[in-house]
Amino acid sequence: VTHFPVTQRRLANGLTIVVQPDRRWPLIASMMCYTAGSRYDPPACAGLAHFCEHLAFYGPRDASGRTFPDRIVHAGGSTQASTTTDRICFSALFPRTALETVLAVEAERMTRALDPHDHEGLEVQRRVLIEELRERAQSPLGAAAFEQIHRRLFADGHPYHRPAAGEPDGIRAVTREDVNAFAASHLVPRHAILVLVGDLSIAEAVDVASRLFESLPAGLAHAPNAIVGSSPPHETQMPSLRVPASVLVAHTFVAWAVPGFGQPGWYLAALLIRALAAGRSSPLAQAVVDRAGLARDARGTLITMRDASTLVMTAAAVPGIASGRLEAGLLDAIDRLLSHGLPPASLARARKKALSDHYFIVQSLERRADLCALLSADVDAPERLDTEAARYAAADPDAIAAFASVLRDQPAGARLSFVPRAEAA
Amino acid sequence: MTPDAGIALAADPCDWSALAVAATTLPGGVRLLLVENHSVPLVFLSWTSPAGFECDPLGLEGIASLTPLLFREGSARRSAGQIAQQLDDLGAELASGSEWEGASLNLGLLSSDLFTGVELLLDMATTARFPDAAIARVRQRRLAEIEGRRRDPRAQANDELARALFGSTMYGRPPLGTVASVERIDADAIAAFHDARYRPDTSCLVIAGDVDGETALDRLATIASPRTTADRDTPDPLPSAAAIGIDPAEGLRTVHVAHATQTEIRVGHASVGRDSEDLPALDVLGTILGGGPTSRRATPTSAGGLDLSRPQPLHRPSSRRHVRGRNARRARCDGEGARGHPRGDCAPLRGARVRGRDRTGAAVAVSRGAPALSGSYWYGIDAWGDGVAWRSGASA
Repeated sequence: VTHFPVTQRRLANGLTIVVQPDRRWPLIASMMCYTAGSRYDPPACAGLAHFCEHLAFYGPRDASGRTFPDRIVHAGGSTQASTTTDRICFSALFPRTALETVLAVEAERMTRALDPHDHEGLEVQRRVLIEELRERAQSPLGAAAFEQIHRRLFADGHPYHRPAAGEPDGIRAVTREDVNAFAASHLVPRHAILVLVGDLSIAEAVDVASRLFESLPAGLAHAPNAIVGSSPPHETQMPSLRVPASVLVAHTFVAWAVPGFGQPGWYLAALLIRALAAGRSSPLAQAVVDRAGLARDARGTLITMRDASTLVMTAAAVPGIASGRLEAGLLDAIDRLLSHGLPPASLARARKKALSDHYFIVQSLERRADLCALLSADVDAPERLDTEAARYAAADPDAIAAFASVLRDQPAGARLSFVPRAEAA
Repeated sequence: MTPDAGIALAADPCDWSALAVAATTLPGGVRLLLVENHSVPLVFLSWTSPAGFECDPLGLEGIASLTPLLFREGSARRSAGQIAQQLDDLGAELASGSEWEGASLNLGLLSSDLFTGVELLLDMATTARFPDAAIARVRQRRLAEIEGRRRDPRAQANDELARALFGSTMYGRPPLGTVASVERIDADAIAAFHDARYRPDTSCLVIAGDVDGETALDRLATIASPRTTADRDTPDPLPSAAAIGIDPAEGLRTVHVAHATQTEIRVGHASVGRDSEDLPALDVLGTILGGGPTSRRATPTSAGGLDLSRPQPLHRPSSRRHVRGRNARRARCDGEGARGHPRGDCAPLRGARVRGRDRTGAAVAVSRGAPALSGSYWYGIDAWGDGVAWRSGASA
């Protein structure tokens, strides 16, 4: 097995540098990750972090009229950005010769993320964001479903209650001053992790990063409007929610809050969901598709976040099956599966699936950089990249069975069904 | 500091050697290519057959793209349930699909399961069974997809440009088929298509990843394809694809799509085939003109709007544009940015003039009539075997 040694350093201003050399190809994947996700959105401005990410992605134009992505692309790279509940990330993949150019862009983003005079750019991005939200709302079985689940699963005021992408009213309420203040507070070395994976040495990475970032001010220790920590999820059973939607058949989602990324319970959840609900022949699919004939498809998902993750099991009805019957059948199947423990064969294939999923991530420079960032930001241990596979292999079957029992008895699952409009009427 | 252990270091950053590919033929006649890469304990298997859209028989358009969707439905040795069970037991990822020239079945799994995976893949690819119920299901899904494309301005523009450039010849035909052709596709037609196009002796199996070449070749030699060349007397000839006649209709074609929120514009030119030595240069040109946020096409005008009347050095068609038969390959390179660029105004778009058009070019605009454009636009270039299409869209 190839090892992927990782080194983590911290500059005096708080910037964390994570380096994972891999010199087989002349490419580098970078990720500048800020602990500044939607959890830091002020209550009246849901979407501020996302708004800030859009504007900071482009940044101000330089003397030759180039934006940040222009400069990276001009050097032969490609770049993207994303906002989650916990982070804003700017990633790039580029030839090793462009290392200095890309890191110079990231250093400038820290000092001058936005053009203070570009009023038109701000309004354009406001329209783009609202359009994004409109498109998400039009696909109820995708992102919109998980947003609804999180509203049910996490109480109002919890950092994961609101969607990372924001809300239309929040986006409309954001002002130029809000964005500037957010960038000044959060896009700073103290809250940043720079991951570099690829064709460079540790010494080279630390040298270039030190030259470009060491002189930057650390930034504020505690960002204003931050929701620190996490409140527990709902402690009482929430009633089932039925949402009329433009769907041909009913779709039901059942969800639980489980431990956040990197915690021991997270690995149990990751194995449990694969054992019960991964693939067309999963025990869940056999129960509600093959035996009960209620669903045409059934599967599970684990949405990973820092302080709590969301374990979701979902089923799509066969035509003619009403949402109430589907939901009852799905809940019954889940209850039976969680009660019976895991047969050795199910655990074996869950481990195998977890391992192959892990290696699919690790074999890609960009996705490996993403995992390094996650391990550094959430558990402050990026070196665990090299031991993640062993965690799946070593998971104790009794611990997984105990975890399943806790899940079965947990009263706070969210239940949500999207119902064809004809049925709802 | 952690040492750089575990990863082979190249002395010179640019001194990375080309992949070493071992080639042989398996007992069943399948061409095998094997590439070692031991970075992670995974292997990727890819079965490819000459069964792309260009093989669609007249009147059965869509059959090439439908067939790979049915490989999970059963084989001579396994039922659909057994295939699903084995894939899940292996923790494997299976994907299948088709393009103009070929169709493929790809499997990714842990390297410890390599030989099980090879046996499964060969069985699925060569002895596939096509139950009526499964065909009815994918046919229904395909008909819904075709209907969906009728409401999608982007798809409409692409289809219309293909028709404008290539008429009723091969590349002018829809890869997904038409409502009429898809309704004609039944189990017998698919079985006949599969029998003719997924032959071991015309197909290729690629194994890449954590595999020891010598050991694997010895072992693979014992895994004969379930169907051998001897099963048939002589290989079927390759399809006589409809000739690529390039005689695009003159003038700007406009298609109105009700409720569209974007206007799509396509400008297309006939060009070279995929096997042309000019293609790398064409790819570079495509990148310069429309391949990213720094391309000329993406550079906003000083007025901040799309301006298709801005002079552009459009690609001139090659003198070898009349490529026929199997040489008429179709490549594709998309150049959309990660973000919709800002800016955008309808005035320059409505007044667009398309330059550089000649008898090999065609222009298509798909809109909802009188769009008031603003917000964002996207851009790109499609390089096909016989056509290059610049395209831009703007959100209304």
